[in-house]
Amino acid sequence: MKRTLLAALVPAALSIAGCGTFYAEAEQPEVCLTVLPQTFTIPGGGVVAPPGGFQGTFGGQVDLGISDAVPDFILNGPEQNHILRFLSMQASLAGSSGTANFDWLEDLSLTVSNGVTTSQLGFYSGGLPANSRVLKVGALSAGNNLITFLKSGTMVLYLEGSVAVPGGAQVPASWTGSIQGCFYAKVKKTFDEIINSAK
Amino acid sequence: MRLATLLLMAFLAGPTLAAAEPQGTPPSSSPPAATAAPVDDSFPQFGLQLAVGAPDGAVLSFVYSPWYWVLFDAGFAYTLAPGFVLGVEFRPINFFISPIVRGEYGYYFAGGTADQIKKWAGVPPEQYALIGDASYNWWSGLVGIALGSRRGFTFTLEGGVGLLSLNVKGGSGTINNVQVTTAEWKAQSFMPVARLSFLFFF
Repeated sequence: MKRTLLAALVPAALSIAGCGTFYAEAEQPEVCLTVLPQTFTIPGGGVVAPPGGFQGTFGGQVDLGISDAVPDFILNGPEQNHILRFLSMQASLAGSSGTANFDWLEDLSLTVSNGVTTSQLGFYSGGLPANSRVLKVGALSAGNNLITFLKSGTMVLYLEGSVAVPGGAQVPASWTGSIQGCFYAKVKKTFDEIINSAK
Repeated sequence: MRLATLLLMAFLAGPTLAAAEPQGTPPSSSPPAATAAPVDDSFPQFGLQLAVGAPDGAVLSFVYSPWYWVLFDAGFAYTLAPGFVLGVEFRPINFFISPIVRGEYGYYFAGGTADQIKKWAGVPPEQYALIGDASYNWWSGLVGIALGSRRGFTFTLEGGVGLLSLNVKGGSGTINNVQVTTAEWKAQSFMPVARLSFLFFF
């Protein structure tokens, strides 16, 4: 009888004691968000570059709207169990863009900010084939985690680029393109955390 | 009153007696039931089982038992979608009450699972398109007790742990003017499992 009772009690004891051991996790290998085409103005552009060439910079921000789409219960918890990893950013020139290609782009830096903390996600430093209309920037660090930015409620991507146009060539006044950001996401919660968050 | 006392005594002494004296064999010559594994023609080999549990759902199984102490089952399952469950179960003691050790694998095909995930998780309707068809499978190990006759009807109650995997197809949709595309994703849970079953041997 003792053995039988033990057999019946073991699973019950495991269930009670195991709430910290039991867990649920979800992993999304890639989710991509594409915003409507945006226009980035190039200060000093819209002219023919002087004989010595044209050097300039431009910048702009993109709100991918992730903050509104993710429920709080996914965000709350230890950072190591809540991962939002930047994978890549792709900029595609729209048909109505003020420029035919990215030949004028010298470099491009992609950073993320929540107004308090800023972190660089990716960097392009040339090497794009001539007449390219699509630019893809990968992650600087494969182990990045943007969850703290997401938790703060605002997560905005900033693009800052350098323009270099040889003398005599047209400097674009602006460029218009759709921006796509791709991310990896993983959330793990113990049953303890799930029960406590439901209270 | 005396009958009740006798039944109670038999119940309390059950495992010890059963281990020492398997039914239908002389007490002096029988080996311990826990180690005996002879083919015993007197035990029916086939049965039908109805089980309910989590994550099993409702399962109707065909059972094959080549020896009284081991049972193999394969069944049709249905909860949010159709599926199947395969199991192997050990009942080392041939008595009215017996411990059970069970291992099982189950699989549910894509059906209404994705719709339920959307409702349970509180996914806003505009995000429904991002969640495609979902199927799930699990492995589990359980222990429990069986009550009843190995030659007729038995009732079992089991609990244990399981590893459940949910596989969800991706999708594409537009939310707040942002085009969102999700790849196929996976969720996994290490969780407690429980199971009730009714088995009839014929």
